[in-house]
Amino acid sequence: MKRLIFQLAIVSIMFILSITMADAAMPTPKKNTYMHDFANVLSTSVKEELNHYSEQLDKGTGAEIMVVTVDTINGEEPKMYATKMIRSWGIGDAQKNNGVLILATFGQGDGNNDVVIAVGQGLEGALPDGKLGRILDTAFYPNARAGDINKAFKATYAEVFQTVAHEYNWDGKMPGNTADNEEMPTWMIILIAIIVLVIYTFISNGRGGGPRSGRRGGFPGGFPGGFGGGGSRGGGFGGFGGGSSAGGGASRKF
Amino acid sequence: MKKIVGPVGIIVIILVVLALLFIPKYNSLVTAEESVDSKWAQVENQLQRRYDLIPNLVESVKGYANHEKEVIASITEARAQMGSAQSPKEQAVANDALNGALRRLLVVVENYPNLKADANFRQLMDELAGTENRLAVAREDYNNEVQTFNKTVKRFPGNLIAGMFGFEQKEYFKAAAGAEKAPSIDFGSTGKQ
Repeated sequence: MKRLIFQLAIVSIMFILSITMADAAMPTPKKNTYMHDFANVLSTSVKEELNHYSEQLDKGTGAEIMVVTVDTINGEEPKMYATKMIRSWGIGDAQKNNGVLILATFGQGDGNNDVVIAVGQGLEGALPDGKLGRILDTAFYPNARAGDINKAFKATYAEVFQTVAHEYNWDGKMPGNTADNEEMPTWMIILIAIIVLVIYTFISNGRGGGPRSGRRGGFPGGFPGGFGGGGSRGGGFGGFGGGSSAGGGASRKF
Repeated sequence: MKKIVGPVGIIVIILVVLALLFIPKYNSLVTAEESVDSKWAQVENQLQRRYDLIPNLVESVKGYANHEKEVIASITEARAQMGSAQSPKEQAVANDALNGALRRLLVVVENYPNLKADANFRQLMDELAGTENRLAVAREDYNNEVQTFNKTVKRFPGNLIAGMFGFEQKEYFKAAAGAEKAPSIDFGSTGKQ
């Protein structure tokens, strides 16, 4: 009996050890968020903003864009690490495999940090490796070298987001392309909203329906997200869609 | 009457039990073999993709570094080797030769900032690096399936069925030890230094 207990103890210790070892190699995802800033380099406002876009995109198309920062990937090949992360976290839809992971390290020393964008097979057509490399060269690298990590992520995210939204012909709100660093003034947004409303009313009247005949479908063009239409998956949370990856992606040192 | 049916009945029962034991095993072997094959197809896809990318790469290198004949030749040679390889082992060896040649190319490229900055070249290198990663992923998936399959083939009663129906152990996609790690085709952006 004693021996049995002893053996059981050993087995359970081994089991616990193996779990903690797996944890050390790859962080576990948090629930209800697409932003995993383990390295603590992003501002809260950027995280909230990008998280909002990812949420809308997920609801509208089922595609998931995750942003992850870590201290180190322990010398692993960055694209392989990111591929494993997509697989173990299940980023993207299980059938469509349409997850994107933007991952960067911040604790490997200047010039030795890795940044990688990895995609599931479902988006390899829209985001081929060559394009991802270009996005890293133009959107991430210059901003990161200049020390503006938030801008680097925002610009990179915007490029990826727009490509994915375009791929699904989804007209949710796009994050502003921060490459030009100019946000649309509020008055212009209001003006556009009014014009859209006027046109909308006109068209509806022309059809004889009248604007009060109930909201059918989405609002036309470019209106703030939320009208993307219901996602096919149950449960609001993204990140455990069960998506896989065949290893597509590009990476850079910075 | 009972005495005649008895032995026959027992044989029938044994046969039925054996069939019940063997049929699922046989089916699982078929399924396992099928998935090994499909994983191998993935490996071949990526090898093919790599093979197809090389000529473009060679062209763009020639544009800037035409007198680096040695490196260009070694890449072309490795590609030819890849084209004629058949078995997983041969493919793996040829693939490693290509990795070696690409590694040499990366050293050479350092001397040609214009080539390194060329958009076309960078795109090709990204495609190539991505393909390498896909290949590594496909290889791992394939080897895992082979492992599962081979275990079934070796174990009882799988070994009996495998012997009867001619299932043979599958070859892993592995080359010489130490060569598994593909060269990291990764270069800092041009703005660096």
